[in-house]
Amino acid sequence: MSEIVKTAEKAAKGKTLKQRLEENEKLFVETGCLFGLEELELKEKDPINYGILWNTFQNMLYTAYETARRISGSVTLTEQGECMWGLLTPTGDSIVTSGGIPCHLSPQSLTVKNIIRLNYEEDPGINEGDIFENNLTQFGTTHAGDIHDLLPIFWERELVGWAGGMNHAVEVGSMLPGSNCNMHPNMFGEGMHVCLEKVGSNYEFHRSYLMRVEHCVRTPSAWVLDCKARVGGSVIIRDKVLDLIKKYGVDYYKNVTQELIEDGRRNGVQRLKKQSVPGRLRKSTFFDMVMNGRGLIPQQQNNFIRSLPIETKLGLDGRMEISLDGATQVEPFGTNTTPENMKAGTLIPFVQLVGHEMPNSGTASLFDLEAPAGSCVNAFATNPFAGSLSGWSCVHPYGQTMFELISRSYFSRGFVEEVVSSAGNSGGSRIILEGIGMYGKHGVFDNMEMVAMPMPARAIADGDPCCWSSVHSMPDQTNAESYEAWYPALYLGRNIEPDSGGFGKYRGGLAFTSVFMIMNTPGLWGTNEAPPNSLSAGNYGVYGSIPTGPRGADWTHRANLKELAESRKPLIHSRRSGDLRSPEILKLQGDIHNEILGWCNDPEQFKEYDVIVCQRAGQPGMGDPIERDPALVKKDLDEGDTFLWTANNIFCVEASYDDKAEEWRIDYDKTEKRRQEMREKRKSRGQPFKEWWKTERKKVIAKEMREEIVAMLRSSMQLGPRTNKEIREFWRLPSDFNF
Amino acid sequence: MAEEYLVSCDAGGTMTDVVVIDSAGRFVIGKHPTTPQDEGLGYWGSFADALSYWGMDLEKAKGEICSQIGMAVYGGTTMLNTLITRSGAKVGLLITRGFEDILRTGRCKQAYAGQPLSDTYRMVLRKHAEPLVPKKLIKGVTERIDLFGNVRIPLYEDDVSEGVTKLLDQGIEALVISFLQSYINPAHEKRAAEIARDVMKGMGKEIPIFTGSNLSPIAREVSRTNTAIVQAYAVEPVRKHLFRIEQKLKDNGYPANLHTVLGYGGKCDIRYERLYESLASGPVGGLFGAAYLGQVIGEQNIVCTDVGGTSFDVGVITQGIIPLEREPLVARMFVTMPMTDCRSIGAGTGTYIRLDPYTNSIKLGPDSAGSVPGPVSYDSGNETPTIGDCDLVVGILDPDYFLGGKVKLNVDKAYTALKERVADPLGLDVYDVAEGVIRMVDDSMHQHLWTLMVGRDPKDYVVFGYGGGGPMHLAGYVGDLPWKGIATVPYASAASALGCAAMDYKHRFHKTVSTFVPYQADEAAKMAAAQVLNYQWDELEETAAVELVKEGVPKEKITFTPVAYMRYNGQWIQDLETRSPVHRIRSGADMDKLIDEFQRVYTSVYSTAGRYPEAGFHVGEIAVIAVAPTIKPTLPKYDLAGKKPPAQARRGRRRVYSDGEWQEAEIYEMDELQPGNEVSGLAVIEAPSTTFFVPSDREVYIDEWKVFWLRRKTV
Repeated sequence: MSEIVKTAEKAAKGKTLKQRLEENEKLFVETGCLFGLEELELKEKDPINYGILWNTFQNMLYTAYETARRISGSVTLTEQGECMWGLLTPTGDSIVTSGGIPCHLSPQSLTVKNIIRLNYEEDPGINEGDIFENNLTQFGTTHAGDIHDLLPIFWERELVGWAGGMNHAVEVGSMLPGSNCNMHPNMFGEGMHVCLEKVGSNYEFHRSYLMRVEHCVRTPSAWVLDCKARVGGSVIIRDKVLDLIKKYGVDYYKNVTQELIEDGRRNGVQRLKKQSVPGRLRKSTFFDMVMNGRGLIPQQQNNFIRSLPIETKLGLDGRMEISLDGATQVEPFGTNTTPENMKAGTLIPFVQLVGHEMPNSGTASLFDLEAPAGSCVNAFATNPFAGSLSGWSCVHPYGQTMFELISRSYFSRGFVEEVVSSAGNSGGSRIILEGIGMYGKHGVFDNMEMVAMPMPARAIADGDPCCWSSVHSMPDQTNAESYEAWYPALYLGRNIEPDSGGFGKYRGGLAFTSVFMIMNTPGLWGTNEAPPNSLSAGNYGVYGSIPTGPRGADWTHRANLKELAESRKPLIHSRRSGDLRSPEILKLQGDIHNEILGWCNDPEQFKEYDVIVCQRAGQPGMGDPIERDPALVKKDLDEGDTFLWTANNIFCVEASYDDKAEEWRIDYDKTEKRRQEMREKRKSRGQPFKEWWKTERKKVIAKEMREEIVAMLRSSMQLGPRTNKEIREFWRLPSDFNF
Repeated sequence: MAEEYLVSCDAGGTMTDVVVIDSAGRFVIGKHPTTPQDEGLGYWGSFADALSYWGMDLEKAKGEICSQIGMAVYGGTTMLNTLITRSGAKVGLLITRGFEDILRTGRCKQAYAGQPLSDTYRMVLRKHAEPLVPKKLIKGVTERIDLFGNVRIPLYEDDVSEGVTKLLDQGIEALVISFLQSYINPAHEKRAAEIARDVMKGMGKEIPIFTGSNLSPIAREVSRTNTAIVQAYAVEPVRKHLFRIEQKLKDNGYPANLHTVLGYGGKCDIRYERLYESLASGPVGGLFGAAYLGQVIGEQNIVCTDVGGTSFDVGVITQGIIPLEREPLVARMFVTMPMTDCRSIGAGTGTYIRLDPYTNSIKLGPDSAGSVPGPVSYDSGNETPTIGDCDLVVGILDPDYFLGGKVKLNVDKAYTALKERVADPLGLDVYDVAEGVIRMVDDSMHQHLWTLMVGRDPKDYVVFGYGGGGPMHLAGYVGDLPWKGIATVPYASAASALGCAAMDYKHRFHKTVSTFVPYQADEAAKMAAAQVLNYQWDELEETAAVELVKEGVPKEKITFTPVAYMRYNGQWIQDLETRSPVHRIRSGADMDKLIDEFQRVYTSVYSTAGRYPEAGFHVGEIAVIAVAPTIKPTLPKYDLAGKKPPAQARRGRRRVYSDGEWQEAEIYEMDELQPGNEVSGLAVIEAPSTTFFVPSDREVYIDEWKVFWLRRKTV
């Protein structure tokens, strides 16, 4: 048994961790440099050794990631890579992270800082071999499904850092199955919460903790194997750190790790200064739920629209201020979150576009973020019990929108190769089902395949299909056969969905659609995952592009698939065919539920031969569709990526099919004529701004708009003083006017 | 008795090596630049070069020599090049309807797999490779079989005939049929093939048909489909190329068939049906060469390290077993093709050195100058310094003895590039930078080694360094891990060709299964699972025997090893190759032996903390390895001479910048050093094809097998 060591007694210079944390924060404010490091002495003195150390750290984390995730029992961790390991300083600053979900470096850092702020040094103590765990949003994680384990690293009885691992668990014991469902109205019913607890000692989990797991979640073995993976990776990191300290000395280790973090900040500053234009950029994003008359509790039974306006100000010093003033109120669903998690959301684009060379707490220090108390993005400030199991509902679309804001700045400076048209319409229509599987055992099934996203349009090219994810650095759609081995389904299709990407000079990447039947089970029940379906496009594309339609899912009970198959009739393999506006599912018989209204916000029961169609959202486009090279439209027609209707009406391209050659032919003259006509038509629709403003103002004053929009504006203005002022000024509203 | 030669070739990206071995096991190595337009030219040139060391002239006596070849083995990159250059056959694909796009979506992962870690953060660097089969040549067929093999949607036969007719009209040269879950029930694929043949007959055409279930009955439709497409797309054109090489040998009297090398290590006749298994045979030779050498000198645990111009490849042999990857990435596609597990990073002698404009930090690679244009010192147009330029600037490489003096290196140009591009912007001395960068690349290789050693004890392993740059960086990249030994050999640069020669005749047969043994299972439960394994092993063994006998291997010479791929029940993917300690499981105790073996292997990788026997044990795939022995090279054992190297081995002294200062280094000719000799660092041991650097704190001992052991000097 290891000796218990109180770190407070051993901390550097006799200070407690809490004192050191406060000192670091003060130094940053005073100097603008992390840890007050105005010079990177070790780097300047010996850049070779410094470079070697950084490579060593990166490789160490990569090794932990590649080795430990194979221990896991869940597809999310093993195949999709929904996990991350990190090395942190004693005060919780992230030095280096593995691949996987790098934006979690911020919640991981916050978790350690909360351990320190809550004075765990004194009680329950921080000892060698301890395992601290958290999945409570208030203490650092993004939602209960993202579980963090942290292990202190000691060198000669001094705490010299932390190694940590996190992963997205498939199942957390919530009322509705899975780990991401939006329907839980508050934190009660979100499943098994581990509230920043010491759950293990001497590198072993406590018996009481394992007992809790055994009895509080639906799939305890998956949970336990995930625990082993998180701790296994952390132990690899700890061992390597101790080797490095042995080799380089503890003082060098402590100093160089601080320099690496400050260097991460400088790297980001340099890139922003070199590639961006300073100033203010804005973008609004909306989200809705159609809930009238439905829901688990009365408060849920109203439609609502969330407004999440974003304003960024990039200073000459390369630092960004982000304001979410105008965000609407806490929602009676599991869709709320914290400003800290919105910072994690900010890291999604920052790691990809700004700090990819050295993603760490330095990257996270490049921006400040403020969110109105009582809004859905700062929920716990006014409601300690707010639901957040699906907190990604806010974080995800926000992070994706930030891609656009940074890209617009890069575009303005001419760095067109780096530009993307924002990053999507939030998630895909994933489902989570519970019941008896094909092996006769109870299980929870989640088609995590939907994490595989297409790429947004770039300023120089179309987006590729199914090639990345906004949160994962290494996503994997994996094989349909792998999913059929996990859950009782029979796949009918997994093809690229035509016209699912935004339309533009360069079109957004096309999404894929999963179509499957329930099979080999007495029955399942379940719901969709977060973020739930929305009528609003999360992002619309830039510079004249036309947005893609909202993602969605279709499903049917009592479909006649069996009969159709027996008589060799056409079945269903995609969401649409032949026409952008014709859902395939309508061709089936049965109890059809089409499009986004009604899909699974309420739990549903499924049985064999029921069909589910899940579509991942396509990505936004860039530029005017009538500037698209007709040859690209022909290529899309040939590959089945666009419909003729779209080619004619959106891209204004005249095309005809050559049966013999089995390919499309473009009539360039007619195309040009058609495009010219479209330009004229657009001109004829135009009106002077002042006229438009006068007409619209009358409607605003009379509140001639949907009641959901009135409620949204009311909430935005109540919580956001700047938004309140701007709306009043813009529409010149009477002082006594209120929505 | 007439001489009987074994001629083994490894045509790499840069050089083609040929090893000729006589019946006494003596061997010579020939080298010739690879000739990608016609690899046969490089092969013949290298063959001639090898024979020249025995004073033989291939052109003058080719009839006599070729008639004495017992076996010719050819390992090359033609198939890989065919895939990379998209120059294979016009293939049509019939696939389960709804899955026509899987080549374009590539399970997402194919868009970035193989990228360096830092690049994976950047989505703008992602792009799928162009599929081998264009969408136009892919036709959907409505059908579905579930994972238990039950037909859930019958085969729509009209879809098949219509699809095949359209594809034939478009002039396809081969047809692939790939349906979901066909590995468990191939009925739909078989029936579709029958219909396709009927359609072809009706149209008066005949092209080869390949089915996923026949070629690779393994779960995972993306990889299985890729595999069948590779076979259809690249194998037949490559087979034709191999036949041309064989014909040239036969025209000159070679009496047998040409053989090639399989990606999992093993020789096969070039007529072997599943020739796609030879696709990724590149790194295999080196590992087998090392394993063979280890067998001779009595080492079972070997870390094989190969430093080439572009990459650093590492494979870890444990207990003589060469590890396998069962779903490797080849030419940016995942394939269900067992392949030697050799992990690479982009670090070699041609790796570029740059400064990051944002952090002012030195960045190595991951790209490389390769052999064309090569390092700055090649004077062939490249102006970005490389690792090779650093080796030259600090004096480790002799500018006048590179490739035996065939290539003159420009030291001044390398110096200037390093100075202007790296040293001056950092305000550092050029020689400090050059030495520092060598340290950086060595350390990056060392980290790669460390990654693969997680869960293993270095004290049990010998590191073998080979490849053109292996011996030069060996002392640096082994680092300070407590290895059992560190070694290289004079034929390090041709270790791969020698390894190809040392392989047995071998085939592997894999099949997806699913069987479960609960924790603390009773005898009945254990035997229920055993029944599944025994039945499938019997089937695979029978298939293997038939195939090898058909290829001319006497049945009594074949040995079979049953393998189970096991995991703790509930683990999603990770399973481990577990060689069954018993031929068949006849009792619960036999099953315990299999489980114990799995747990032993598992613990060695994931530690005891990762064990979870309470979950029970799952077998998801089985395999049978069928092996027949062939002629192999014999490594001669020498008498030991004295410690002092002979005078003819000394090539003088040269200044080398090491440990931050210029020092005098002894220079030796590698081929002249004798077993028993010792060389103390600082020294450079040179051969025409490689350079072995011995730092000042190290020494080298040459043993009776002419293995050069690098060890730390005792104080």
